[in-house]
Amino acid sequence: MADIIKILLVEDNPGDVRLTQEALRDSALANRMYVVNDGEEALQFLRNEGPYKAMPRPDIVLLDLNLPRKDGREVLAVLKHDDALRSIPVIVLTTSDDSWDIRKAYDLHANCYITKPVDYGEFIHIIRMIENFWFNIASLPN
Amino acid sequence: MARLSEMPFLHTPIRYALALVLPVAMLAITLTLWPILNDSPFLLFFAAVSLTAWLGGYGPGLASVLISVLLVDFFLTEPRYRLPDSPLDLVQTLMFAFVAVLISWLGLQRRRSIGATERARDEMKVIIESVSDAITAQDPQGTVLFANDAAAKLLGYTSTALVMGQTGTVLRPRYAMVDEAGNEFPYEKLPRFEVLKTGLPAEATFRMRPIEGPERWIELKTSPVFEADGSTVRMVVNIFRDITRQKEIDLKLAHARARIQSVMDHLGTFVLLLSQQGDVIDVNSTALAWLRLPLEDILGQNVAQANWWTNGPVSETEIKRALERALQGDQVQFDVVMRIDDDTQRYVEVRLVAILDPSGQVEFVLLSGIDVSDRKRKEERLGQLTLLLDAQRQRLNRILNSVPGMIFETSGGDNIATQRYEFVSDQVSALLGYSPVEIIGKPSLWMGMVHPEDWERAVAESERIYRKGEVGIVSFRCVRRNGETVHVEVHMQTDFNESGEPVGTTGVMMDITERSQAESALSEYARELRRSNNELEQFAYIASHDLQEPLRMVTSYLQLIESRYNNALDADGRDFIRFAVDGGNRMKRLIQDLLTYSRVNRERTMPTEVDSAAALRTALQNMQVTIDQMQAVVDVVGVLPMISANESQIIQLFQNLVGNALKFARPGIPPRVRISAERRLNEVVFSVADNGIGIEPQYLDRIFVIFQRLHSRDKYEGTGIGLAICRKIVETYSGRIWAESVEGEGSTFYFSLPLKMNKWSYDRLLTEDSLEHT
Repeated sequence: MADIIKILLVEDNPGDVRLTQEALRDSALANRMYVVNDGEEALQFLRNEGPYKAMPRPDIVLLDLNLPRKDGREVLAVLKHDDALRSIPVIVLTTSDDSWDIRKAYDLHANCYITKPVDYGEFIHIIRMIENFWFNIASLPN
Repeated sequence: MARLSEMPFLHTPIRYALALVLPVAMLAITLTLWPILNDSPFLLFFAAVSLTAWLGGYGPGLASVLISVLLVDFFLTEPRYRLPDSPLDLVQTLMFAFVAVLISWLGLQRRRSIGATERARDEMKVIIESVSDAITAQDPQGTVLFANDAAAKLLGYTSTALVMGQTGTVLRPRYAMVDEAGNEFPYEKLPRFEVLKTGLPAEATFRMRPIEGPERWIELKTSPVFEADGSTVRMVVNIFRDITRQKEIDLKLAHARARIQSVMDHLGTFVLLLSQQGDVIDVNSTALAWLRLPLEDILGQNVAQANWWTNGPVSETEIKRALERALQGDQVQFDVVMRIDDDTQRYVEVRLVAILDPSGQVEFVLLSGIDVSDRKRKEERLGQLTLLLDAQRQRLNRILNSVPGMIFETSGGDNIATQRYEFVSDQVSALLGYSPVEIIGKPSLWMGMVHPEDWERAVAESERIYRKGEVGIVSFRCVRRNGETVHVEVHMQTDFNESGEPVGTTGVMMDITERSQAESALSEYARELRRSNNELEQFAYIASHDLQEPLRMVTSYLQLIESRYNNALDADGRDFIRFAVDGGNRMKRLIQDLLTYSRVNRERTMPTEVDSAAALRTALQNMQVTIDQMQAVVDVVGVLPMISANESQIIQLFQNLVGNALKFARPGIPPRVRISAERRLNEVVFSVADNGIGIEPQYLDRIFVIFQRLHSRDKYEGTGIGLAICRKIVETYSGRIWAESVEGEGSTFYFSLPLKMNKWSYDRLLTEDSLEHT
């Protein structure tokens, strides 16, 4: 397929970044994962600002909530108020299963909220399911 | 009336002529009768001298003596016709002269004596005529022997002569005689008849009513005049005294007296006239009426010893003392109690005053009394009321001063700052160190005592209450007299006048220094507690949240190693990795339980109507896998009610309790869980009963404490947080949770929840909520 799926992972924890990369490595879909470590960088990336001028527009954003500088909620708020960016699906992928966090994320128009499982196998499974759902089942805007 | 003249002596020449003529005549007679008178030639001359002196007086008598001596000596004695020349002759002549002078003097004296008697009679007559009383004399037969001018006039005659000789009966047709009572006065009753009968003086009083002119009151006194031998009455003398004027005066006096008596009787005042000794001389009708005694029992009674004063404040000696003072000229006044009968008594205000006669001597003492019973009774009532009022006031004061605060009343102005204290209770000294006297009436003193830092706020708040007129509370600090600061709370209420304007305040000022210190300490503690609780929850939340991250790394990468390098690991390596992953999983549960526990308060939302049966169903569905695995039987007994709560928490609650029941099952015996609810007054008590291993009684309380475990981890898995979460949820709704158990047979967990959250408990919940999230 000519289209390589572009995924932006906003995650400050290198362990999680690696786990996600591991999970996507064996994916059937051709993908390219971009990683930024805080909310500020994420917004710059999305707006092609600063060091991210040449970066493509991602097809999907995997957003952690607890981030340095600008946290995931702020990023979400800005993103979903930006006419150019709000159509990009944002999947909140976080350790928290706090109902307030969940509620807040959806209030800010997150497209999906997923709690990271502790078990590695489950984590792989969830990443696969995300991939499968968003890129095989769901239709996304161009 | 003829006036009494001098004695009727003859004219002087005639008298001296007598002195010559009579001796000459006697000489002629003697010479004629010489033979008879030879022996005593002087005899007839004595008669001449005597007669001359009698008729002519002393001078002619002497002259007669001298002439007689010369005549006798010259013509009759020897030698005749010669003047005496012998001593014997001279002696004879001188003896005659002496005797003649003597005779002449005696005659003169006699003559004078007769003249005096006549003169006295004349004078008597003049006196009788001049007396204004009418005087008559009558013989026993009634014939008028004498009447003076006044008598003639009284009897209606123009002169005394017309009266003389008439009998007494002639009076009768001219007058009607009337006695004092106005009846006819009988003629026979005239005192003359009695005098004649008894020989003693008698009198009568009657009125003589003439045909014309005014009638006269006559007092007739009749006295007898006896014959010289005193045997019979020769005549009677009547003295008519006109007493008309006296009678008129008497009548006027009598009228005056009657008037006075009438006035005395109608004064309504009790009047006694007393002698100087205090004996009753007279009384008025009021006194008779008051005393209810006959007059004779009162008259002569000594006022001090009288038994009509009873157990009043005045004793016998006191009345006596009052009498003495009155006699000394004082006007004495005092109150006595007069006994009317056994049931009635009269309070009398008595006044004693001595009444003097014209000579300034005490004539009598006037005791007057007025009835002051009404006044006395009023005074007594007033006295009782005053006593009552005093007692009331004292009681009020005691109450006021027992109030642990200063009660006050202020007034003045439309402004709180211009108020003056009208009243403060004694507590002011304990509260502020000032005495009430120092405070009362002082303008805005309390404002001056308010702590400067609180002043503005205190005035503003007080002013607001003052305007609004409701009971309001202001608290501020005051500076005591000794400089100490005291925290006070003032409960005050505005007093309004009739037109609804605020005019003053009433209230109480209390020392709340201790309370306010305690309160501020308490609120400090509460704040501290809330802060530390919040911090703890925050800490628990963040800690458990952030703990999951590294935990996940550990587990995930261990599993990554396991899956990717499985062939490179030996059996030990795989075991070690499994232990590590297992520990990670346990830690994950622990962290999740801790999170749940810390969220019980955080996630509390407004309770809604929750169907507890539905909540239980959801909980059981969540545990379906376990239930099936354990072949457990879960029964619901009866109907589970609607409750007010947060549904997810109730699900959690059931899940934990049923989960426990399954977990602590006896080995080999399929668990049986029975869930029921019992409705009590305004709460529901749920019970979750199992047939498990049971709990030792001493641990029944400990199981609800966080991290308390009764069993080793090998035997029963668990974090020791589940029941603590249950308790926290139940207590959130003001409920209770407890357990009963028989070891080896099973346990029953009970928890109560309010049937419906009422407004009060809901408000309280919200308040607690807001407090905890402050």
